[in-house]
Amino acid sequence: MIHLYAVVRGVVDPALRGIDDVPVSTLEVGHLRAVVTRHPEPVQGSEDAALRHVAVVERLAEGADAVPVRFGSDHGDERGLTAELEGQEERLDALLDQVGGHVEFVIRTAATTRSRSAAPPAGGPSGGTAAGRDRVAAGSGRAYLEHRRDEVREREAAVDATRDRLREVSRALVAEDVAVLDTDTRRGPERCFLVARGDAVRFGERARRLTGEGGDLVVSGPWPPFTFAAALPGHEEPR
Amino acid sequence: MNGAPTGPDDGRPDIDLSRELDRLLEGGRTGDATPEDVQRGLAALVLTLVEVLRELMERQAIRRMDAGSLDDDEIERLGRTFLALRERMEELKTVFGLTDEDLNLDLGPLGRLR
Repeated sequence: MIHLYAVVRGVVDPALRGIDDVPVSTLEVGHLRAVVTRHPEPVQGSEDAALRHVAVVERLAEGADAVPVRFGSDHGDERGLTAELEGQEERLDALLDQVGGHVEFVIRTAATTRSRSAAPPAGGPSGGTAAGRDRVAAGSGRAYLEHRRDEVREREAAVDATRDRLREVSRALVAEDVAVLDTDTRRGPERCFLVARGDAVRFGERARRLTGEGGDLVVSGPWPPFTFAAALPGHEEPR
Repeated sequence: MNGAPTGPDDGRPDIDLSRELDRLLEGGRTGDATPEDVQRGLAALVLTLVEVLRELMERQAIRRMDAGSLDDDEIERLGRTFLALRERMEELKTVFGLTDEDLNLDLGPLGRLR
């Protein structure tokens, strides 16, 4: 089984070791290199494996222009993977031009705005009015639907408020001249920033200072630009 | 953990249906997973799909209630039905030792259940 970490343009440290301490190797894709490890069995989706994957990608990105691939890109056929990547060589080259030498920061809400499913009456409904909750607890069908509707509205309002705050912080960061990408995750809306590696420390400090003022947003990163590599137009992330 | 996004978009493991089925089959084949593990894994997948359908139907009912296309009896009946279904889902999650986090399905272009 072939586990893919990144596609790079440049030098790969031959001493680098990947998941299960397996030495990394490369597949030639035109003038690019796919960095992989070979395993007798499919790579298990453990936290250790995911962390090692990220560590390898970070090392690669420090030494060369790299298109990071998210954890979970495993392939049974080396020739098939090479052929697939060769078919994307032009796109990968363009991606390398954009994300190479860059890191990614993410700013998101500190609280989860996307609620888990509503608790049923037995677990105690949380939203709406006290009278409404009592009616739900009593088994009123209408009250249940109204309660669920209120929960959805509350959630949507929280998401809108987070988006407003993200825009506000971004306006203050816009002088940094970085690419921005909005994503929507189950933790709520997030805004990703593609920052030149040399500016990462300054950007991170500034972003944390700005978000620290309200305390409602958190800054994560820097890390390899996984989100940008996966989301840029025309790119189909290898699987 | 450094928080880098190793998963589909936010660094937390989500259920990818195809991958999860492969994992279950592989675990059963090699003996790494007990029959109970496989049973619980399948239950998580089935309950996730039921939860997707339940939420879609519930949202549709709410839309129709707000649009005034349901009378009082229909609203009450539908609401009680969804309420009972919710309670049943909670019971099943308890039986199989599952949490909401276990029922988080990556629906590809449709996004995630939660």
